Amino acid sequence: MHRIHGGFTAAFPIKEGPEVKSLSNMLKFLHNNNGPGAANFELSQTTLFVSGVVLPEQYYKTEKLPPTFVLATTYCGPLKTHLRDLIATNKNILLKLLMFCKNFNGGYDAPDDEIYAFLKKHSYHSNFNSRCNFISKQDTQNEKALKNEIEDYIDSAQTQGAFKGLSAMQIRKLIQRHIMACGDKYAWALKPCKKNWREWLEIVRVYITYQLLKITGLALVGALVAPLVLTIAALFGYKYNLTLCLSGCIPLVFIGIVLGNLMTLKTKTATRPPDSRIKELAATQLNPVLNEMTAAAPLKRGFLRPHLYAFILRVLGLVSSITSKIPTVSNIRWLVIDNKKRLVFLSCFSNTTDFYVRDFIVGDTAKGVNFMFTHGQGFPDAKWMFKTKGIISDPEGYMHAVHTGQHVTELWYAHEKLLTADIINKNRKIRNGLFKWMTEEDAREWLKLL
Amino acid sequence: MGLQTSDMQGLIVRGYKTLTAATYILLKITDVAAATKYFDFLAVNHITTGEKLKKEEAVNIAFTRSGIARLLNDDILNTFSREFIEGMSFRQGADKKRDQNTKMSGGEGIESAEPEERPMMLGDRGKNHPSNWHWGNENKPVDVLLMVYAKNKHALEELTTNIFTNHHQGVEIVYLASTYEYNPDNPREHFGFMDGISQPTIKGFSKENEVEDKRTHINPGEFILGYENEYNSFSPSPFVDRNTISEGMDAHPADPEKNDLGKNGTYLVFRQIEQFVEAFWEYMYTHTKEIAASKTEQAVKLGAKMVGRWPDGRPLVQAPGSGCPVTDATLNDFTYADTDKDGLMCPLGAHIRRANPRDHIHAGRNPKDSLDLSKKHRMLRRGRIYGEPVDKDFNIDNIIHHHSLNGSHACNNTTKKPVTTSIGIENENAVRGIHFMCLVSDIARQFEFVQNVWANTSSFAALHNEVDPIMSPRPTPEQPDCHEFTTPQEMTRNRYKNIPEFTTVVGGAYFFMPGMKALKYIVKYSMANGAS
Ligand code: HEM
Repeated sequence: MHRIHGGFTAAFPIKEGPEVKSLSNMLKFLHNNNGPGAANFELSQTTLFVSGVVLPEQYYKTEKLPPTFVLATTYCGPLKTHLRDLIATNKNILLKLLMFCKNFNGGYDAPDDEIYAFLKKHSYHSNFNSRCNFISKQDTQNEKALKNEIEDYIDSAQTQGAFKGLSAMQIRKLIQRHIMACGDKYAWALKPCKKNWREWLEIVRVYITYQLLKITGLALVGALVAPLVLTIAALFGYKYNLTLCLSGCIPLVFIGIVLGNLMTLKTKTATRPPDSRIKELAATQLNPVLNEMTAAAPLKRGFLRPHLYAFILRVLGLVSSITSKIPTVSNIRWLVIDNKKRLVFLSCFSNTTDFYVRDFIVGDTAKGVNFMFTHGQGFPDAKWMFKTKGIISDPEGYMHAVHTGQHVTELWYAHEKLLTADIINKNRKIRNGLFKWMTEEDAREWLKLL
Repeated sequence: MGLQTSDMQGLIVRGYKTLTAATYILLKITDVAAATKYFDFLAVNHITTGEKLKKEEAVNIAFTRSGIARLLNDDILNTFSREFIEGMSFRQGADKKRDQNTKMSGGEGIESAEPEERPMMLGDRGKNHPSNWHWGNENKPVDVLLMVYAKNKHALEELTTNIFTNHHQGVEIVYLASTYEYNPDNPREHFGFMDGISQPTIKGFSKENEVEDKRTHINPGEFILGYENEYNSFSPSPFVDRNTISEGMDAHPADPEKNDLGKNGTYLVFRQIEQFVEAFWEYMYTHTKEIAASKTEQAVKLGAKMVGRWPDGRPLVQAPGSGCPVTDATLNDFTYADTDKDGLMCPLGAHIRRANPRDHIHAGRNPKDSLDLSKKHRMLRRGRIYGEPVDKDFNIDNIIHHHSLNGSHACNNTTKKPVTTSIGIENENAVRGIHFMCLVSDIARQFEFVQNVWANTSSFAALHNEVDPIMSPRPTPEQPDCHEFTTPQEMTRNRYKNIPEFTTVVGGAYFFMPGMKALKYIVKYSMANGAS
């Protein structure tokens, strides 16, 4: 089975009335309760992260967007296997939650297939990226243990002076011997973790798609601008058919209108929400390393915006491992729900929300994030949708919008709350370098990972 | 727009290095009307502005949230930043029952069962918990900070008598945080390292003929409210209504209908941090695995690796060996990305690398972005040390051999005999440490960010199980294994374990240091409204 990471996100409108509050309480209960009947995502080998959050009702123009339960998971392997695994290990939990959702008719004895179909039916595509792609839950645990074993061995070898005068290769040899001597425990580590064909295919797919997108983009720009250039040339007396050239400009005019519709909008940036609200949110962000946030905002006006934004999210989603570059993130996703009218943002990251969002307002990352958020109500307007202004020059407005749209994630699970993506990736490098062919120089570099 | 130094309090512009004696008087307002008169007296006669020093003395003033609330009103207070309004020792569940007694690293700290946002974030856990503080907590709240500087101890006594003893009214001393004599030629903190070397250079404050270097110069709005910051926008600043009292004040940058109470002011973060010097050097001496000619030099090398500079201030990235010379000009002219990306010279987790990673914020950022980001998290440090040094010459050899190796030293200073002055007991219940002070325009983005994300986070620079060896708490209940420090080496790193906390926070508060017009507004408003 492959270890490609995916982001499953489903949004379920909640039944009217007190159900919203009850669902919220249920999520909290499941999060805090360790006893029997509690959520046990640890059992599910495919599940890396889970977020369960209730989005309140919000308004897109005058249209009410209903209170919605968002269930998001980051998983490893095929989606079907993940959902089956999730249902097999946490069926009761899922049922307890889905009971509050509209159109879920199954009772406590609902068959697995019905739950599966319901989850699938309400799922959405997202622009998702995981920074630990190709590393499974089991790998993460194993590689953490391997790293600790090697570190402890180095400590004791150093105390005994066993490394004195040795080259990097010789030191690595001793480390290899130690790991081999541990027997079955680290038998898996004797070979580097190689990508299987499906994983390579994914890498190739992303690369080719990225290049194709670039070429298509350039070709599109060329095709749009060429008639304009020809028209100008015709006006200056070159022998081009002016009518033909002018009609060639129609798509450009059309696109100008579309972009104008999206860009000329001057919207109101969110103002500072009550401190009590920020305190409430901050209280849920006190984990020492990884934390989670979910924010939702109806899209800004513009009749084409929902479609165009959803389309761009879809396209960017194809190449997100290349385009998504926030270094403190473990995994991140943007999607639109409610008929493309509500933007939802979910992220697992290191540090607290305020510091995390502050941390990416720099360089190209800021431009990318500017583009993603500028379409949400309350977020500061960016010039050319990303280039300047927006969050780049109004970080306060951006923070206010984040706080306004942020919702307490009542249920949150992370498989390794103390390991950032950087550390998980570093552990993978340690494992892969342990028995790999190396030169003295490589071995020195490898030792620096420890 | 030029910088209005005459409207700023002097501490923003200079650290008063030639005024070697200083004391910080922490006050509580007991009678608002009388206190207002006293502040008026200070504002008119004594507060030193940012213009050239005219006298060989300086007095500056700052207010906490409770001070502002008493002199102004809640509506105005609510225009300040959330961190300021809540205060450094704010605890979410403080009013609820505290039933969990969490003991960490020998501390007797009592922590609330509720999540405590600010103490968690700042690392004020265990012994460092606000409930153990000498001031700045619920038991000993502070309203006002008076900072008094003079050219020597005697002049300081005179000045204090002149501006405080003879005139004060409506206020009472909560804590007298006096400082140890400052040596401008060789300013050392108690562990024996030269301090105050790396300061941000502010655009517009450059000396004549100095070319402003884009790489290191920072927009004034990072440290002074009312000016453009590194985002080319304005840090959030408190405001007041336009009326006769606020006449003459500048318009607020975000809302021209209001007047800017923050203009030419700043936020001042004050933390009193006790230092355990003998324990620090005892650990270095008994645990060091660094290579050097003698055991003492090995200990010094480990200490230097934890700080990131040699005791005499030379940065490790410029002077990896104890004998390497560095000129004064290059003492602070260095970066990490090209010179030392693996931390072979200055470990990735060293104090100065965490406090200002310069062009090497490890997590996947290029040097330019790192530098840009670092510039958004700088602070203007203005603190001084307090208490008698273990060795008056800060000679580490002496500290190690005459003090540290003299029996085993717990990370706890034995209480000294209290020193009483004409106005009170100096640094009551404390022995020696740093009165850490920094000026920032955004407490959360600058001070709290550095403390939380760079110093206290175990995953900084993809490290694991280590936090800032100088100033962060360890281990914590959530991370019981977090007590390490690594010094990368050519072959295999040295890993140090069970590093105790060499410092404990024993007091602290967030203050607002207003500009002169704002100070006058505060006085006038309070007089007019009799706020309480
Ligand atoms: C007992 C506590 C502390 C001690 C002994 C201490 C000591 C030092 C020393 C020796 C230096 C090197 C001198 C220099 O570069 O100027 C330094 C630098 C620095 N410290 Fe601390 N410090 C303490 C607490 C803090 C705290 C609480 C903060 C802020 C959160 C802080 C922030 C900084 C910064 C920003 C630098 C300059 C780094 C650079 O720009 O390269 N320090 N400290």
